[in-house]
Amino acid sequence: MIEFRHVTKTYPRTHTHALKNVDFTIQKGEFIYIVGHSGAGKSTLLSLILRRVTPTEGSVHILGQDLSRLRSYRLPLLRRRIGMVFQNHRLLPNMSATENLVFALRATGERGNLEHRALLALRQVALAHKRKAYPVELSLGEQQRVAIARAMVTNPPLLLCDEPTGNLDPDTSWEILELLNDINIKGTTVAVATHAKELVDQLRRRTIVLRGGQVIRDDETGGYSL
Amino acid sequence: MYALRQALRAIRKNWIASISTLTTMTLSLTILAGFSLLSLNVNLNLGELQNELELAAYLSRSADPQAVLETVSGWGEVVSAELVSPDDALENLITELPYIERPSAQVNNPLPYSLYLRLSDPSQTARVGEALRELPGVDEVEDGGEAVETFLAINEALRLIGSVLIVVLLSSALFAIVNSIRAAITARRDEIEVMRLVGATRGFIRSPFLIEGVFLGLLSALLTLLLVVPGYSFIALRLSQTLRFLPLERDPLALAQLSLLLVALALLVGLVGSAISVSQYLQEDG
Repeated sequence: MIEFRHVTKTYPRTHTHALKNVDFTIQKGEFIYIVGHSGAGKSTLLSLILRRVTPTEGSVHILGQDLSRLRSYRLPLLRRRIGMVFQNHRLLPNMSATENLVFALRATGERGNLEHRALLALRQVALAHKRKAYPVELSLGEQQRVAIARAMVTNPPLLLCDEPTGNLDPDTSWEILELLNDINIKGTTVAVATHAKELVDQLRRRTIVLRGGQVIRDDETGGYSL
Repeated sequence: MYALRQALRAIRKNWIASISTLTTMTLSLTILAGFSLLSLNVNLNLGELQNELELAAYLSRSADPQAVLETVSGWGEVVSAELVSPDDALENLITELPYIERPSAQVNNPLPYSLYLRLSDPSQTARVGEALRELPGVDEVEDGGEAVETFLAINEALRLIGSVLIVVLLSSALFAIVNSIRAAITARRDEIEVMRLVGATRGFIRSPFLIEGVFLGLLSALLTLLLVVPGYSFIALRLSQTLRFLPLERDPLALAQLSLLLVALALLVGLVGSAISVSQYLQEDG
């Protein structure tokens, strides 16, 4: 599903080694944490998966495709198969919850009853009753749920989350994590970049620990300890 | 349909930038249209002048008029050559100036054989005039070359100024579109980011902005035509009343062609301007 082969990423302007010789494989259906302090390389790793940046050395294979050989015009097709959730949900403020989802569907060229599909996705995150609410009318936790619904509305096989609980209180964070776990149980591969120690320790899953751009631990039994 | 809705929404939302673009484009296109009409009319006048212009050569008494006529008729630039005898010349003169009829009867006809030429290209007038002067048997030549040269110089200057104006005005219209679309892109930066993340194609992201550019171009072309068509009709009417001798371009086909060209140019500027803007943004954004 995701394969990093000796990946190094250097940002030439700052001469920073964001990642150094990173090598791991994530299988289909896995739930994995990518943990590390700020600047450890978590965001760069996610950016490489989305091919927002390209590796300086090594190769990244996503859903069976070598991203270095992927033509630019095929990039949107890859991204349609990857759902993405951010710390700051990135919902469009001038659109209701349903409209945000419909917008994502429309942007990917989906046709048919998009409102119905959006409603089904909102139902899966238990927010069908807030379908007409605008982001500003939702709590932070609800906003993040809508963002997860938007990421999942196209039924991607892979869901990436970049600090999805960063702005949330512990209870809400736990709800979000349970939601991600439910999505994983239904068959979607989930990768969560986080530094929320309690959550990682509470719901133990495979954990890749990054420090200074290097993988210092890849542990099936999980746990946050750096 | 979605792209069109988004484009119209962007125009409404960024109405200050849209109006500024429309103003700049309309002004540029109006100046261009005015200049094109001026050029069209100068060309028309030049054509008329070409039709009316005659070279006149007066032959010496010793000349063989038929031999001169034959020589001149063989020149490539000469469309027609007419030989007028002294008697016919006098008759023509009396028709124009009846009061000389009586005095002319008292003296021998002083007029020589004269030769009237029409040329295919008025710019050759001076050269043909010189060649005529060199011919044996030709005493004097009237070529009206100064008038032609003035007209040709005006035409050349207009062409030069026109080329510079086209570049300057189209560039300003293009930059206006580029800036307007950039403002629209900035306003929709978050939407574009979401579109890219969910896997929207470049075409899907670009299309609302391209439509916006084309729409602004079309609108400014229509505004220009609204200004230029009645404006030109009014000016042409006033000129035809005061300067009756001046031929003015009234051919509906020529004016329709000019209008179509203006619309096509505006659409092209709109399309190219928005394409530049959106490509630049998508490239910068990775």
